[in-house]
Amino acid sequence: MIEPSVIAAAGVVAGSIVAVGTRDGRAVALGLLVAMVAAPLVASPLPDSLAAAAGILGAVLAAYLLWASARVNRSSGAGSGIGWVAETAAAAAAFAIGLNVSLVTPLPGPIVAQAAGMALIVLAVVPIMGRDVMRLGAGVILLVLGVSLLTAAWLGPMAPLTRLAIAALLVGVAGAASVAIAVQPTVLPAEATPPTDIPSSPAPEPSTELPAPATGSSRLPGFSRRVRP
Amino acid sequence: MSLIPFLAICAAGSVLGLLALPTRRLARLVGVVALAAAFVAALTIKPADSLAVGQVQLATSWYAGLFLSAATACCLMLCILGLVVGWPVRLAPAALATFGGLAVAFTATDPAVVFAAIGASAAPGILVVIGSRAAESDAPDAAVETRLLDVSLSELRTLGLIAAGSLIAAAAVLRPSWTESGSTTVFAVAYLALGVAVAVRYGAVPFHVPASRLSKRGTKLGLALPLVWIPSGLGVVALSWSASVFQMQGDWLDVAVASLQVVAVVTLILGAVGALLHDELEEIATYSIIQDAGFVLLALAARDGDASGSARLWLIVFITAKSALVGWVAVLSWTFGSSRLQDLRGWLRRAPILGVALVVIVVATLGWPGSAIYEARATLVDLGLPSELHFLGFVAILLAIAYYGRLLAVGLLPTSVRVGSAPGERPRWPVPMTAAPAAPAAVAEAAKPARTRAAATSRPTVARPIPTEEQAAAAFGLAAARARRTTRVSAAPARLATPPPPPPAPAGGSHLRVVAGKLARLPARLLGAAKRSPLTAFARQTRVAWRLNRTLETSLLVLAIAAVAVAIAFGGFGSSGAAGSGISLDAAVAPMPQLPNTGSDQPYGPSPTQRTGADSPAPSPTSSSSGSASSGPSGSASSGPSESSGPSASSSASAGSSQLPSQITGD
Repeated sequence: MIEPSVIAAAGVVAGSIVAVGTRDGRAVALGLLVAMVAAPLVASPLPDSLAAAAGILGAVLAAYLLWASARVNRSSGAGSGIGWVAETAAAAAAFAIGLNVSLVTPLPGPIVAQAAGMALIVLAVVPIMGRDVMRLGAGVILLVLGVSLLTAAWLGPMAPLTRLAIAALLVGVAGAASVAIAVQPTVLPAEATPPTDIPSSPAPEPSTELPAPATGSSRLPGFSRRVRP
Repeated sequence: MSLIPFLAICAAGSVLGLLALPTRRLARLVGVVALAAAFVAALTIKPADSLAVGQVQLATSWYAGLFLSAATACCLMLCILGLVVGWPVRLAPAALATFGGLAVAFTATDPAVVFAAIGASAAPGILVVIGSRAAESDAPDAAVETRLLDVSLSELRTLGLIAAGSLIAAAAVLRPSWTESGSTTVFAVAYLALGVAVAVRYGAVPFHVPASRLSKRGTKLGLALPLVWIPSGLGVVALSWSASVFQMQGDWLDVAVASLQVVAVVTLILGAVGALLHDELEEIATYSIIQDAGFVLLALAARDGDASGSARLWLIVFITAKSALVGWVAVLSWTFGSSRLQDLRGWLRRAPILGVALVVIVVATLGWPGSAIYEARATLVDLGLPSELHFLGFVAILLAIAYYGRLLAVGLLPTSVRVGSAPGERPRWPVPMTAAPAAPAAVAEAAKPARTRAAATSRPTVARPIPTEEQAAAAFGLAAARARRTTRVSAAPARLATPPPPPPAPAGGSHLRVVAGKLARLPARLLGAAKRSPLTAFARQTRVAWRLNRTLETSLLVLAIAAVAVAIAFGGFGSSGAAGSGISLDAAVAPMPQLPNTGSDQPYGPSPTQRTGADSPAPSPTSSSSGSASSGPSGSASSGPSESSGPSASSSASAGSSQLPSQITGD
């Protein structure tokens, strides 16, 4: 029989892949919601109802903050830089490593918590290095979630107040990310445009019209796709 | 139990403050009232009180109460300053949320709770830093947008680093049975993660660019939250955690310690150089904060219990003195309408109280030989650096005196036109309009504060052009009209001196009708008499004078914050004793043994409070005896090994508030 913690770990990783692989801000929030709701359940034995409720409530609140900022600003991230297939492969590799590495012997928590934690940390690396606020916020949340899963694996079941404090930490990080998304620039300057001495064609004026649905190479030169009405 | 009011006020004030943000007046009212209530609640925190939340205890300490009191007092006074010089949007709710998180972090006996709470308390700072686009231009300027984006990205990354570093540190300090025999590598990684988190949040020199950007964001008074209060709370917790590596030896740990030493030395020197080279007051204050953060890094690098007491005293002085410096910068910029040094020549002649406040801030920060704060700094340099580098302590003092002296020297230069046209701190009193010859000059003088305030509020950091004579003459008419309104109280007696025309005599009316008429006019007569009374006129004049002397009042408030800082720096308010007491994490970290791990069937993880819960297994003789505590590290209390005979964390958690260890109670 498959243990609930294994199913929860799979849910955490799946939600995280959705969060880092999609472009729509609301889908990012949904993926993070799945990951954050499932994370407290990656425990053996399962946490008591009060602790689980605190964790789920915090997850819903954190996801709502991201959802609200993404909805209000019609914000969408740049999507995965390496593609969702590569993200999935990287997460699977990290998950497999986590299943086979024993840093603490004997492990007080479930081994899948360590595996899921490593997968989340690997998934968080690329978004944290990027310059997209939505993806960076998702990456920071995944990083915190991953480290908390590692902690749960290495230290065993947590006290309810610890779960409450981690839920507050996730809400705080999500709130900070939502604030950053809400105030992100309306028109982004060109990223990594190398300076050149050769005079190039003038950059186009930023348009106030909504752009056409973004495809891979339909981006205006010099500006990102994000235009806030 | 005495912690509950503080936590409740912080939570309620934060939520209500955020809800009230759309209404400016209500937001200010809620912010100031909540901060005042939080300050009173922090003052009432008892030193050896405890509160059980599930299986974790929140045990208060003398130092926690003093730190929270000082922080809330500084925030309250800065917000009161903000009512005049420009309200720091979102500072009050964000600071209240941070203080609530710090309260939990300082009092929890479970390290996992401590580090999760300290990570959560760092998150509200982003509300102040990037929470408003008001400080930037509304036009989508590419440079402004790029700066905003950079600030957002760096703040989010900093938050992620703090949160991840805190959780790793929590995992390390709870000491699960690592596969590696010594587990020193794990501690080295955790030590480095925590140290880098502290350094990045403070803006230590290799990581100073985000802090430098913050000073250009126009946050002004809000600068104190992300650069002073949050990193100081993180520093207190990191200092307590560092006691876990006192007795460890290892190559990786040595590398981590050497890295922190390098960062500290570079910060001490280059932070001061940055303050010397910049011309904007906000940047000077930021680099001053950065330089003084080097002492916290030295305390982390010392790996000695004797450094903790000095570092804790330094941190309390740091939050008060740097809050005063942030307030000083905001008031000086508001008074003269510019924050550029070349515009502020001669400021000391027009604002001598601010000059005194700056000197007091310098004294609180540096002290002199024999004073508590000087000895604390010297101790940190002695313990944190090898003997060949001890001279750097004096170099840091000299550099600090140099950039503070530069500010004072600019104030002694001949007065610039901008400074000369500003009202200054000279007390003013409303002049009656009846004094005809003096009226125009008095009216113009009376109108200056309002004009200055309006200009400074709209463009606080941009240098204002000097008005030509024609513009000044045109403005004079507006100023005169405005001043007439403000001095109408003084003019009231002159108007009342002319008797009103007598009422027409009743034509053939009865005596009863006359009496009724007099009775009907009685309330008006009484009201008029009350208005004519000297006491009422004085009260109204006082009210007008209160509005006229904003500059003087704000300067006095800055001086008050600086006075608090210097009192704490010299051991006042019990700061020296409190610095030796520490926080609950000290007692939890010091006697933490390598716990036997029983697998996943253990009720809750290996934390001291969990092991002592009602439904937890009884402590083993090894962990319950104080032998491990007396022979092991004594925690980061300032008394060091001499207090190693105190009760362990296990006994403290089980005995309740009456038998809390001396690290918490300060006894």
